[in-house]
Amino acid sequence: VTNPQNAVAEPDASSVAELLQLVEKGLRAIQLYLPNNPMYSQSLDNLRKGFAKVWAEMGDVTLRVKGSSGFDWQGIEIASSEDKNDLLAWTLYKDGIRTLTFMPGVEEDEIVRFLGVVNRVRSLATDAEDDLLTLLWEQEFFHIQYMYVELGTDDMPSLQSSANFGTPPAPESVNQTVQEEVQDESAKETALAIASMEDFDSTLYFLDDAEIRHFKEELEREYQQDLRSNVLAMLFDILELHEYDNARGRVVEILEHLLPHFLGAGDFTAVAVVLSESRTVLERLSGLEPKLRQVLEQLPDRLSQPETLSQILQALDEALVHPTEEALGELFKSMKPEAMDTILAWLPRLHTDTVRDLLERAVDPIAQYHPEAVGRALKSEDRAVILGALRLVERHNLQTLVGQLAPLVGHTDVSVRMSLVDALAAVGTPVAMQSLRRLVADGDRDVRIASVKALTEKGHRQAFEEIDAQVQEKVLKSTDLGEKRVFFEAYGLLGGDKSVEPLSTLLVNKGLLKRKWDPETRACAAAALGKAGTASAKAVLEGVRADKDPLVRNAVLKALREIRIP
Amino acid sequence: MIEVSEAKLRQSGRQFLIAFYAALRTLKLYPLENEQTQKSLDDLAATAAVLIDLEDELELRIAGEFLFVNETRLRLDLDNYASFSHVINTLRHVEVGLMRAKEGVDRRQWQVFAALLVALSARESENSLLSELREKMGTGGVLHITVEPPVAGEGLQTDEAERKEMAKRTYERGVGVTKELVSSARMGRTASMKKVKRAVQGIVDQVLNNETSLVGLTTIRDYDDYTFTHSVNVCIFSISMGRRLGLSKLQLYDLGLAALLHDMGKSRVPLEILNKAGGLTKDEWAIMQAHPWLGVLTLIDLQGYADIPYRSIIVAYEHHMKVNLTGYPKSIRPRTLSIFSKLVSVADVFDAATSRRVYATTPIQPDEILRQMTINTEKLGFDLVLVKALINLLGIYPVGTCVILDTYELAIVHSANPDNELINRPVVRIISSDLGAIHKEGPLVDLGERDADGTFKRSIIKVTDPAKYNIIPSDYFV
Repeated sequence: VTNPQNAVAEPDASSVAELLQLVEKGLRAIQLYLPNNPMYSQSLDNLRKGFAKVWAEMGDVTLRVKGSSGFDWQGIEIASSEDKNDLLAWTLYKDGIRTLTFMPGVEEDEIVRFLGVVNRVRSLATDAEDDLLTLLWEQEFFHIQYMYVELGTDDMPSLQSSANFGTPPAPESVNQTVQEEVQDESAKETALAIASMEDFDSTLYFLDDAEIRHFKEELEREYQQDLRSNVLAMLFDILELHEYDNARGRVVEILEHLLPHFLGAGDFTAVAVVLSESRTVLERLSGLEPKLRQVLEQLPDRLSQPETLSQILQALDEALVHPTEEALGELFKSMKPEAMDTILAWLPRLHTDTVRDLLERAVDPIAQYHPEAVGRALKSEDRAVILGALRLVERHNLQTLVGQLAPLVGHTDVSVRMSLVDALAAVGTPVAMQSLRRLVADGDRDVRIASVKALTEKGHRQAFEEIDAQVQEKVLKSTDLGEKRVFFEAYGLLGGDKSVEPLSTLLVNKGLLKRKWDPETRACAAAALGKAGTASAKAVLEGVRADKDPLVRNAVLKALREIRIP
Repeated sequence: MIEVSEAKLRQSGRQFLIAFYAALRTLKLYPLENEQTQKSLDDLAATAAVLIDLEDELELRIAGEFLFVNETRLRLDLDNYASFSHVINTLRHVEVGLMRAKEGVDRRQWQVFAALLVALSARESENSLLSELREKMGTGGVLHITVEPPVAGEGLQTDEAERKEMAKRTYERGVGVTKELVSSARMGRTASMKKVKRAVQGIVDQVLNNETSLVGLTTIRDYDDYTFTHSVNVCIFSISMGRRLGLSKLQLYDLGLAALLHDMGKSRVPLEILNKAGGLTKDEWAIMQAHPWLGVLTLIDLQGYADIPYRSIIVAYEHHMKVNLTGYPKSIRPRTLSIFSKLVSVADVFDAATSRRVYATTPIQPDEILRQMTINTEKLGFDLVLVKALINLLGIYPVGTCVILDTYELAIVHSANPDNELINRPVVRIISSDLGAIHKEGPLVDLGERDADGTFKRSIIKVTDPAKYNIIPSDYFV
């Protein structure tokens, strides 16, 4: 057994001083660097090593906080080279902390949280709702303890015993009243009933499993609920149910002010609730003062302003948690159609797929309810806006906008003309097909091919003339086999019997003065005859079944297989 | 060799003490199944095993301000005062001067032992807590740990006065910040929520560490300061009930803040209505009934739009709604009552009914209102689980109830009996002798105490109105 007299070691402040330096360096690292910065990690690693060294020598480290002169450990002053305002001891002292104890285990996680709080408190405004003590309390530290003095409590009221303590009633009087009370039979009965616990089922003192479950579920709901929407529901109830004009005015004013705060917080669900409930109130509450009605009516306008909306979309793109589709739909449904251009301009710029998907789907209601907004977007000078609008025309088959599509045939941007092909094909009205036919002669190969394919898919025979002209003017002279094949197939399919003779001329190569076409063109002509699929086409193909050129022969045989007539 | 073993013993002793402290603290704060509680008990068993391995037994002895582990003194100084003094105070409270654990002690025994210490340390009793501890250790199968009283001369030191003082300061601060808040609201100024936060955090701390003293102060029901003391009382009751229902510390804060602010709407009710003696007219009553929704507007204005206390607003709005959504204010939009609103509602009704107010100068006796709340739970629109929690907190005879005992002594209920089986036998303070002499500082008596023949020493035969005896129950708690 050891001798207790020898068990206490003399204090050595060097390792504690070293530890405090590391704590202050750690605090600086938290202030200057993000957690993914190597300097941040290194600083905290050093701090953990510092704690390990101290724990090897002693138990808890308790420091007296001396304010601007630093700390005191077991009577030894440990100063710091930091400026007063950067001094950890000063930050602690000015909010009331007088001793600080680090216990083994603090190095695992709590020290980082502790330094985080100290760092945060340095940037708090004087009228902030928190100070060091409130923030430290919230952390529920287990390995850090602190003692503090309450500052600014001098004006607190003082609880005093009542004056009665000075004038107790006479014992005889007390005794007599007690006797009377006890002898009062009716009162005794009541008393006995209470004392016998009959009014209180004994199970009252224990919650059964179902009750515990009920409480847990309620508590879970408490913390899962959408607090803002809940409070908004109250505000709208107050607005509808209480007819005091000043209360209504105040509620409307609150709603007006809350909107930018919700936007700032990225709470689009709350924004959507404000907009939709305002609409409900406007419909239901006929007695609302005109001035207040006007404020509610104008709420959506504010969100549709390009600057505000751009902020919303940027915030949406950068947010970690995205609103539900329903909330977004509600938000955009409430917007004015003028918002369309801004949304469409932002769509291609968004980095987050989820947001883009949500936004693309959320913009649909605007297109459905306000097609004229899409029409305006088609006239935009911003290519992205036009492209977005064209996608909406295609998705929603906005036939009323067909007149506004026609001018885009001549748009200088190829991607616009490409999207226009899809939009026109989707609309599919005679006017749309007319515009599509104009694109057969487009200056861009891809646009030509896309439009011809679209016309072919639609079986739009009226396009034969444009395709014929194009075949004669350009395609025959081109060496692009891909384009040639698409045009020839469309030629045969849309031309039917009309196409047989020209195609036959190309395929058969008869006569001394006739131009002899290359095998690829002839093969395309054979394929086109197969698409024409008529008896005369078949007859032409049968005539060249044994062509000497293998490429042509194969194309002929393939085309003949396609023709279903006997 | 001796140096090595001495150093090791000292280090192991410190580790054991820290683990012991951690186990006591977690058991006090969290339920047994909590991960942190379980880990602290694992650590306690493991650190004790290290010492028992070293010297075959573990002996922890309190001597003055020092702790000895197997005769090695662990100095109680600023290095370790926080954990060591907690352990010392806990052991002292249950009159333990020496604790000895022998080979064979397992984790289960440590768990039972630590849990008993935590339970008994929350108790005030004139009977020997040490005897009770020993008895319960025996029935709990704690066979390898023994406890002994302090050696002569190291007598028991009670810190009850200090606890009472701390509770008082906490209560005073609660009343102070509530006054400030109401005053700010009346004048249309924003208020300092920092002070409010500190006050509520302080109440949570006191409920977790010193509940009896703080709940005792809820007997202050003075109508001059009714609005303020009522808010603080509701805050204390709500947090205490929440604690019994297993809420975390941060959840207790949320609940406490909401409870403290629940009546803020009254700051917009004209004082002449608020303080009107006698009945209110229909119009006045309508204005009074507006206070929940006026509370919504008040709390939104309190700090500005960036820091709206949403959860508190919900409670302020809903605290007069019944579980079936009757009550007031009326709702158009679908609403499910918040559990915090329901909880505050129970605390609110209890405190209001038992208080003397300008318009209700004869308060209902605490046991009577509790009985009404139990019998008419549905009619009154309460959640039964929460009424149970209130009764669990207060007992059948709530704190502050004035009773007549079968000894013809008058007594004030001091706290509920911690033994659920004896919930109708609270701990009381005797305030008069059988001959009628009123005591200023009467003794505390556990009505669960029995004579040698097994009969109860004292029983309640009647609940009485303290006003009949010119007694103000809160005088015995302040």
